[in-house]
Amino acid sequence: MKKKFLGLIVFLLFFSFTNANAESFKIGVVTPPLSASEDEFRGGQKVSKKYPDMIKHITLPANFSEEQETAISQILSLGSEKDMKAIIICAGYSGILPAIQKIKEKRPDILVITAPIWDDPDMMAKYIDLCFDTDWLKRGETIPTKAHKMGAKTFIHYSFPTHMAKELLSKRRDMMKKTSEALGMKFVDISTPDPQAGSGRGPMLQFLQEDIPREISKYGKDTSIFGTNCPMQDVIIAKALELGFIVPEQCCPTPTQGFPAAMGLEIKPEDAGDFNKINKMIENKAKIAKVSGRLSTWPVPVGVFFPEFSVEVAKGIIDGKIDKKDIHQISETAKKIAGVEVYFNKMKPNLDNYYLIIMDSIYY
Amino acid sequence: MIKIKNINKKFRDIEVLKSINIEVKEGEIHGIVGANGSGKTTLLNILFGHPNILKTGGYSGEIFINNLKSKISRPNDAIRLGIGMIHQEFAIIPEMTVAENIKIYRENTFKLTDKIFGKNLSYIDKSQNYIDTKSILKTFNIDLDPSLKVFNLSLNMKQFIEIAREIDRKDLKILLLDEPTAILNKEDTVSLISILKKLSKKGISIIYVSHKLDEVIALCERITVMRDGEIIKTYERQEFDSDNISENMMGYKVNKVINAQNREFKNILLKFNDFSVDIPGETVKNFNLDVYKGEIIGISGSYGRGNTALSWGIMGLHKTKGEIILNNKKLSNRNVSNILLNGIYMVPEDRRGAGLLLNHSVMENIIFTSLQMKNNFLMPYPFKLFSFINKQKSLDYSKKIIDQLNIKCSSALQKVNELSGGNQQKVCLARAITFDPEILFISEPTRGIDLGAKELILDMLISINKKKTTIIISSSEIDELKRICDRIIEV
Amino acid sequence: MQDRIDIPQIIIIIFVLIMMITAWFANISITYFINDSLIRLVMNGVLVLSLIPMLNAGVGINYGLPIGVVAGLMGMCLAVNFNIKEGLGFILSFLFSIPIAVIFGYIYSMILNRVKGKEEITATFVGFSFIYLTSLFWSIAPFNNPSMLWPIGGEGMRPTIGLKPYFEKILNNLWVIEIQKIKIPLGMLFFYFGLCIFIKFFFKTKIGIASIAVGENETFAKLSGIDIPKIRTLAIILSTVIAALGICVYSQSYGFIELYDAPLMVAFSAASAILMGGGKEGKTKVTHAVIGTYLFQTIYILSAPIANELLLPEVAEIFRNIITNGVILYAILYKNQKNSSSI
Repeated sequence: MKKKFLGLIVFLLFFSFTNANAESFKIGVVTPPLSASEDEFRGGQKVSKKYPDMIKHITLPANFSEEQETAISQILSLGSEKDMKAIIICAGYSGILPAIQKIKEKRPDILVITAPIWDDPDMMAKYIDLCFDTDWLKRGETIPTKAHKMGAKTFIHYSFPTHMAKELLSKRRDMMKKTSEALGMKFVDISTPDPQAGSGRGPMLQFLQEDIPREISKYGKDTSIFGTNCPMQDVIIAKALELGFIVPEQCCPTPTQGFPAAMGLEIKPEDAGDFNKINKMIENKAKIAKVSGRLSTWPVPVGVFFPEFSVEVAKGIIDGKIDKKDIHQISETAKKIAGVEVYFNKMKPNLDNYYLIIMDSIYY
Repeated sequence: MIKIKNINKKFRDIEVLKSINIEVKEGEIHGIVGANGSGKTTLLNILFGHPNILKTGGYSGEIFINNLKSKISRPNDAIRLGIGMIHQEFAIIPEMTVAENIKIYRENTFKLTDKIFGKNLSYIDKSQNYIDTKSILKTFNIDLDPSLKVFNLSLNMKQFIEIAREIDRKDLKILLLDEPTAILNKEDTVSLISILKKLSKKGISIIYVSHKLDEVIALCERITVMRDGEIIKTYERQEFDSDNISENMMGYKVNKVINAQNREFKNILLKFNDFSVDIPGETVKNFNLDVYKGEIIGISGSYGRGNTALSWGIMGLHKTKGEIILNNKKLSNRNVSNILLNGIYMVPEDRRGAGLLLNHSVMENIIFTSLQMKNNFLMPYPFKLFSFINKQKSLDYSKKIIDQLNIKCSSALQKVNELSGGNQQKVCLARAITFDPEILFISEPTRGIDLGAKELILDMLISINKKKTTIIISSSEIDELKRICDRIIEV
Repeated sequence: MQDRIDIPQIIIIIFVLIMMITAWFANISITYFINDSLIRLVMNGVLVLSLIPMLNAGVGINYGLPIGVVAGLMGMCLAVNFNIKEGLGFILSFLFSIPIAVIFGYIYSMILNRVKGKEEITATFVGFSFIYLTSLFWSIAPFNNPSMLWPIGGEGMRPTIGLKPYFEKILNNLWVIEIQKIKIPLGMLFFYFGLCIFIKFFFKTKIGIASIAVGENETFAKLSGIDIPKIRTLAIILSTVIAALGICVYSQSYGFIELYDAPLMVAFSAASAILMGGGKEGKTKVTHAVIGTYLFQTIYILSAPIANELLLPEVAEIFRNIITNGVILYAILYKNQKNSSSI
């Protein structure tokens, strides 16, 4: 009896030892909680399901700006784990860099990938091994180009004063205008009631409901409509199904924004998060509404894409299969995860570890 | 001392004062009498610079004080000119002590801090204020601790404090009083009159506005009678004649109502056993009374001494102790609707605050309680709660009762707010009559109502009583009670 | 006297007229404007009407409007969850939301009856906290129609649920007649004015009269034997139920059910509208609500296209805010003035 028991223990020890040998490291993934951002959270969950023993997924406090201290100590606690070899932070906040600095001081061997955080780019590039983000500004060029390819003759840009007061958004608008005009499309800039001016988003959405048919009757079907605010997408896509104009991309390019509500997609719990199936459904609905080829977006939300992609990159680097300076290897990985081509551009010419991505589109 | 020349005042398009000329000499007590709405209060408000006068377009005409033409557009102007006013509604601060209220803005301060911080920021000498207040109250024969907070005091005491505040002013030259005795009892009225006489001897001119003729006759050297914003006549002391003056006030001769005397009653309808009510500022303790079917009982006592507390207590709106026995049965469920359904109805003393829906029509006010409690005036639908008013029936009925009570209104659909005080009181009574109660409690039925309307209301009460209703009147007007009640009880 | 048009109504009417003239010069199509304004009147009008019972019973402006709205949202979600489509789905949304609204209204009234005199501020916070409470509910609600669930996580409700396969615009498209390009949504208007008449008649019934009396003078009502808490409770429940119907009408016209914090600010625009129409505590009429909604929504319909035409989007935004908030301020000032002026 005793011997058997001893044998069991030895067996267990041996097993766990070998197991540790086979995957002798852990990767920490940091995302906001579900209530703050569904995409990143689900992305983190997805990858931890993929490598259940390797991934340690932690979530930041919901109100990050108020509980920054908690957030930093959470991230630091990851760094204090012995077999932690990489930390991936997909949070879209600024103020996380100090935590990374501290980790790097103590454990320079830990690989840190951010996808994205929003601190000073030069500082980030200095301390972080790899920084990824979406190329928001570049989309000012890619979206009108895509719209033009889809047959648009007019490009309508819906926004409102508080959005246009943001540098990035107004720069992107200017870029869209420049690109549209260069391609020979008419650029129309329309301002909606401001959802941040007290009455909420209701008046803005109602205005869209009324204004889109007006504009389409004015400019015709070959018009591309882009709105800068997330709730707008439901209305824009619903109207596109009705009126048949072009929606090249939403403000956040993903099949899960706008499409599910506007098309009434019936996504069963077992299919949830399966983007192949979701994209198929959208394609079908577009066919039924006879708007095939008029709608497009990125096949996977960047929020879901980034955690998995970053983990794969980190794993490859640790296993020695990927050189972190080799952008080709990285983009190969990205293509595998996203299913379409992903383009990487340097954030600044002098930074060789800060990349902004643009994904190839899916057309429904 | 004060000379008013050609004063005119309009509210919107209604002329409320038409070329008023009054002259008051130094040390003179000048009475102004008139029915409600004759413009007395407006005149005083002009003299004291009430802000509403300016807001509603100001006045035209001239005011001379000590032969100097003076412009009074704010109360501050009036105070600077040595004018003081005692208001019909109190202008005292309940959360402050008696001394603080009386010495307000004229506090004794320490000399030292005066020099350092200036008068406005100087430290107040509380003990000196206390002594001053004590001595001024002495002149009224009142022994009161000046450090009490005012909200603890009875209403007539509050009135004295308001009077004391004005009298305490060293620079007072002209004192305006607007119905100062409305809430005082007889003794207090007498002491007020003696104080005013003393003041006039000191050379202070007094303008005394009231509709109580006997007081004015006892006090004043000259009386000006106003009616509908005009001066009808000014009487010198030797010409005083109360019948003439009252006829001048009303524009017609007023006959006083008297109830039949020596009626006998046998059946006890309502019994109060050790009944106590506690309303803030008014309490009744261990009250015992047998009310006989068919009588009119007067409950006298000055306002604020508990005569109205009884009716509020019986309606179950305040905490009570003891028991009420109605028709030999204990009335235990003291829910207002249950009390009403037992045939007990109450007309409160505060007409505008509790007795009327001011924004609604005369008709709606008249039928309200009967509609809600007895489902009268409803269309004959099965669901009473959601049934509509039978408009024709209500209108016909209202017209009838408006004629009967002689309510002056443009139609049954006129808003009650637009009626005069007397007519509003009649509407209150009309609702009571419509409800047709066994027992009617009515408080201060004639307060603030002019002579003619008063008699009409008293007469109406007598006729309701003759039909079947037992009436319990609380009033501070003892002579009215004497005229119509079978018994009078002091509380 | 009471029905005369007050200063704010005059200002707003002038503002609307100026906008109409500008629109004329800016070549903004008048047919669109008329079509949109009729739809908007009904779409938002029911929510505005829902304020009347509470306002008239002296409970104040129902800043807790989100409570009724959530009841309506739940009713609609139930109908969608059972996959009931077309008119039947819409009617069932009503039928489902009414009992929910009655229960919510009853609980809400227990709170408001405790804080007499401070109802409006209490209601504001009850409304806000209720929204966040229901946000939690939405994320764990056991609904199972896949067209309502989160597309990635597969559980919990989506923030916006498309009504296209269910009952989108079912009321908007009922009995539409077209006269020279102007589409008149008769079904919608019938529904709205039917509700108006219902409310108008409610205040003519015995209990309606009692509730107005409570709003105007509580002591008076008490002395006439009226059970004040009961009347207030009834008014609050009625307001909540109409609000629930209101959001159903709104959502079918908008085409989406909006959950989570979408109804957060809904009370404020409704309050602005009714105050613009001249509604006052204790004597708000149905016409106040109708006129107010029409003016308020017209400002919205006109101001954005005009601003875009004149290239002055910020200015239009500022003007509209000054006017709509100014009206609320005026109403509050007027209320206090009414209490203090007596001569």
